[in-house]
Amino acid sequence: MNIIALPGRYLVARWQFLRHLTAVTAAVVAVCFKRGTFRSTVRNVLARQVLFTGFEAVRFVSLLAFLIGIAVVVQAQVWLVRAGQAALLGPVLVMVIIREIGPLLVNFVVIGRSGTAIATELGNMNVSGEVRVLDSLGLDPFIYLVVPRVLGVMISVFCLTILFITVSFGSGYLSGVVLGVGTGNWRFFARSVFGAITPEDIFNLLAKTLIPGLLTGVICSVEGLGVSRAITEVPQAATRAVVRSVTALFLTSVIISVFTYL
Amino acid sequence: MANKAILEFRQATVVVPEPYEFGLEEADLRLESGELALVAVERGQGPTPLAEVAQGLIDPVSGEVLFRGKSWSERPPADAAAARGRIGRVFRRGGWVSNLNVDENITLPLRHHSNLDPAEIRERAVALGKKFGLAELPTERPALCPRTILRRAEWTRAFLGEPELIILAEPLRDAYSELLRCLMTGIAEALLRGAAVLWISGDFPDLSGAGLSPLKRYRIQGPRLKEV
Repeated sequence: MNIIALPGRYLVARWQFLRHLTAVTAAVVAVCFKRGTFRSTVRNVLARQVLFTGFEAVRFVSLLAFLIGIAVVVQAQVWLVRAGQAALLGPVLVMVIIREIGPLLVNFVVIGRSGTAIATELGNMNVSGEVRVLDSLGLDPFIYLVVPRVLGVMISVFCLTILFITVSFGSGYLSGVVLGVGTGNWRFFARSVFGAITPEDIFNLLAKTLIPGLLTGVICSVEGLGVSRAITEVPQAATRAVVRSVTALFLTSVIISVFTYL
Repeated sequence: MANKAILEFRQATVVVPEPYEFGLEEADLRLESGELALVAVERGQGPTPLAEVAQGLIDPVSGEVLFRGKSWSERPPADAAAARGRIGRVFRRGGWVSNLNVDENITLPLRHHSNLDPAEIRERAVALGKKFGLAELPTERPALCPRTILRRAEWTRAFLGEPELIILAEPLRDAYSELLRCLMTGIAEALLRGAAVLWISGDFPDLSGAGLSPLKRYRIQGPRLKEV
């Protein structure tokens, strides 16, 4: 009996979590379009979130992009030129960097840096009664805590991805010049890359940054606010938030790729 | 007849909410404009959820709690949040958002609920803080601020923006007795402009000479709230 009940119970729990997540996500989107949501206090939290998630991650993301640029872009230049397929440089780089690696890596960085921070902060706030305090002061915790964090993550992921793509292409081209590989012609490089970008790529980039960003913000907020009483639940919530955010990231990336390009 | 009560409990019964040990049983309480009610909680009983029920944060299972003549359960969330913005509160303990500085904490409710210029809100907070013995608004995080300063800062926040109802849960905890007069003056001014004050503490405070009237006294024994 227990053996039969176990997977059922697991599935019911998953289903309930998914339903809850969908409801919160829909509520965040709906509240964003409601008048009066973004009062100065909420805008302040949003600005701080963008500062922490976006601005403070600029150096780290730039470093990653710089290294990826050397590793991937240089290799692509070397092998495509050697194979006599230099014309494919743009499409290959767009496919690898813009479509997949850029959004995926930036989302990873944001989940690791900010996702855990959001879950931990909100978990601690809940345990210490600060969420209740906000409610007592007439600040809806959903609007004051959740909405600006989710929006902040979305904006940051998008901006960091643009930065990532720019830096990786820049570093890839420059290191190609320094190492004496590739065509060495920056006009050709730029034309090849920009010429290969299609409207689908723009949609793909927007979808792969904004949707996982939205889900990361919601999942981490839900996990953090789900901590009820004990401070020992906070690290568990943070771990769950990361695992679920990464799962959501891969699932959405695959779905978006399939719908965009196949 | 118009309902003049600012806060009214009508046979409100609340099951024991976490983390409290007692709920409320058929509680009746009426607080009108300019009235001060003292509620003494029986010694050793632990905290009461009275303040949270008064603010509509905990719903009664039967009976109702009304703020400004409207039941909390009838208010949509946005309306309830706006109504809570017209209530000042001193918390029994805690009461601070740890990732904001104390001055930001003090001005937070008024910044959120009004369209006033932040500089003007700060000016008002500084002036009010001086009445409560704060030379200036503390700019450090609550965790780094001495408790006596924090208490006065909490009084400042509770009275800022001329709230209609002020709930004081053990307001003298961590405060020197000579500060009582500052608080009494603040309460007297609030009552004069028509606010109602609900003071919840372990015992009835000695307010002789403070010139505060009219006065209602209640005692909480277990889940029972009785007027005495």
